[in-house]
Amino acid sequence: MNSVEPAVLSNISKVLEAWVDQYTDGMMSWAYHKIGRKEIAEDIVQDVFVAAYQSYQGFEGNSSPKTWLYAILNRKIADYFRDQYKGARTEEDRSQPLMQVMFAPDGHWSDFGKPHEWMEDSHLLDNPEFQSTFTDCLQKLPNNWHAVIQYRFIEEKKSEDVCQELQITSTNLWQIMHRAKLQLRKCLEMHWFAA
Amino acid sequence: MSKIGRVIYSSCDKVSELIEKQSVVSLTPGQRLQLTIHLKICDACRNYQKQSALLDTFLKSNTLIDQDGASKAPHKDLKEKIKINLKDKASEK
Repeated sequence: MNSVEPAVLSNISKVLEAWVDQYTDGMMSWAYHKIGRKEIAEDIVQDVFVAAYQSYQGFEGNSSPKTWLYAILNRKIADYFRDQYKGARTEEDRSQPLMQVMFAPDGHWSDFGKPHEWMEDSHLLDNPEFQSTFTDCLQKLPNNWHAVIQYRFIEEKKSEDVCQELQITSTNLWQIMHRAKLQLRKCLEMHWFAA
Repeated sequence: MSKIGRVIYSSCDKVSELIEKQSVVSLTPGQRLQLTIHLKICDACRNYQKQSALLDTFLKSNTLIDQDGASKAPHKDLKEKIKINLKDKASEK
């Protein structure tokens, strides 16, 4: 934004501030729904307004502010998800420790990892205490696994779409699901079913 | 173990992977056979399979409790923070 007069800048600031008041709540709701992490959602929403400020001159009147802001928001959310996988070779490499904890060297379940029988309860999902325990366990997952779960389950996207948007292979995808479920399962067993 | 035994037998770690794999891609007939046979004889993996399916229903139900109040509007503090940040950017010019 070189050579922009102070008066113009001040107007742009006023417009942006009005947009902050008007659109932050909706954007937070959307971002949190997609990402599942409050701090990250907040950072991304903040980045959207900074980007809007910096590229304001490209905007003027070409679409509604809401459309424009949400387009930036969705791009940044997609970038966030893709960044989670940048540089990762295979999930295999990264989750070696988890596999070694859950399984013995001969491939059997370890004492720690071995699934015990759970008492089934069809009303579990209606139980607020269970929901709280489940949410806690979900929050313990590493960020990038959490992102995959959001896409796959909350958005109910098809495998091919998840892979394409996150730029991972289908092997990466099921490996991540597998590791995430191993951890989730154990967490739930410890804090609910066998507690 | 006989050659056939080696082909058919699969260890629990591989079996738990196959259970997830089949929800993403088709298994080969050999893998499906390994899975079926192993699950017939292994309690722990049968439990895993049931629990994996249960986790699917939990994850789909989207009953994520918003414990940090992330979707609690209005986000007063966040808005202030953003505005201050924008002011800083403006005065940088």
